[in-house]
Amino acid sequence: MRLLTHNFLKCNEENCTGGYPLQIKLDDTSSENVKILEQDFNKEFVKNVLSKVDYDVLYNTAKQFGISLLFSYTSQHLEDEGFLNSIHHALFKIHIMEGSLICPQCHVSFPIKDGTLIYIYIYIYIYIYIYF
Amino acid sequence: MISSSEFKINFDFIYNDEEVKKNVYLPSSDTFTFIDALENEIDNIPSDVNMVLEMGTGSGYLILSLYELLKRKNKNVDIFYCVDINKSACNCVKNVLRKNNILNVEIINNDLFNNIRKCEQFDLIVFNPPYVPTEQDEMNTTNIVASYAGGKYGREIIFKFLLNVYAYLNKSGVIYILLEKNNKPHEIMNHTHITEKFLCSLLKKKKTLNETIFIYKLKKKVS
Repeated sequence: MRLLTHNFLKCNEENCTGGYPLQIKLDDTSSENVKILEQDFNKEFVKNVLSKVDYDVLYNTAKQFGISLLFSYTSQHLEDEGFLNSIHHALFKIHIMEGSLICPQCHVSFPIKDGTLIYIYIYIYIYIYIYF
Repeated sequence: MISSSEFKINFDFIYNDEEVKKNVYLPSSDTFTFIDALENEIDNIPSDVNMVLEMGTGSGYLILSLYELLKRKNKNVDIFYCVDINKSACNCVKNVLRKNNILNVEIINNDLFNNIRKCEQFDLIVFNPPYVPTEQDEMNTTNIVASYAGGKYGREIIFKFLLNVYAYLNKSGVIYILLEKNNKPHEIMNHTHITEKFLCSLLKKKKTLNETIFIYKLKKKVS
C-alpha cells in the first residue's frame, strides 16, 4: 500500500469523527514490512495528484519513513523537478507490505497484508446474558 | 522486446487456481460484453488517463483487459485502484498482477467507497456491479455472493455507487458501468440525481439467453 492511498483513507466507523489521518503501524515481526519499488516518473501526474492530496498529512507521513519533504510549497516548486521527484518518491515508491492502519479516535485497526489493505471492519458482538 | 501492439495479459491463474474457481466470480458473458464496449471506446479515452479505479474488480479480468487495450494503443495509466469486498478476489488480482509483472496497482479489500476521502482523484472509474435481483438475505456478504447479489431490482449496490461517485471523479472524469434489463436501466439513467450530475450515453446493448446487458458511459457534469 502506497502513501498515496494512505492519504485518501479515513476511518470506517459510523460514529467516528476525526478519524483522519489513520496512524501507520508497521509489523515488526516481518522481515520486509516496507519495500521501495521503482515507478516511472510522470511530471504532470505528480503535479495533478499534489492538488488532490492533503499535503500536511503527506509531509508528516513521509517523515515517518525517513523522507524529509519541503514543509510547504509554492507554485514555483511545481516546476522544480527535484521537488516533484521527492513527492513522487513519497507517494508512489514507498510500499507498506505488513502492518496496520489505526484510527486515532476509535482505535479500530485495519491490517495490511502483503501490500493489500483489508479495510472491512468485522463487528464482533458479545452477548452477555444476565439472569436476575 | 514485445511491441506494445502485441502486449498480452496472461490470465491463466484465474482458470487454474482452486480457490479462485470456488470463491471468485469468473469472467462471463457480461464481462466480455463490457470488454467489447471498452474496445470500441478506446480511442475516446485520453492518452493521459492517470488514475483509474475499478469497483468490484473480482478476478481482475476486466481491468486487466482494459490495461491490455490501453497498452496496445500506447496509452499510459499511472496507477490503477482495484477495490473488492471479497478477500479472495483481492488475492486473485494480486496474483494475476504478479504473474504479469504489473506493479502500478493498489488493491483495497473494501466495501464500495466506504471511507475513501472524496478528493476528485479518479479520471476513470469502471464498474461491473452485482446486478441480479435477490432477496435481502443474500445482501451484506463478503464472499462470491456479493459478486451478483443486487437486492431489489438488482440495483441496490448500483444506486449506492452512483449516488456517491460524483465527488471521486475529477472534472473530466468518466464512468463506464454495466446494467442489466432487470435493473430498469432507463429509470436509473433518468433519475434526477443522475441527470443533474452526469451526461449519460448508451455504448452497447447485448441480448443473451437470459439477460440483456447495457453498457453506459457517464461523463461528469461540472457545475
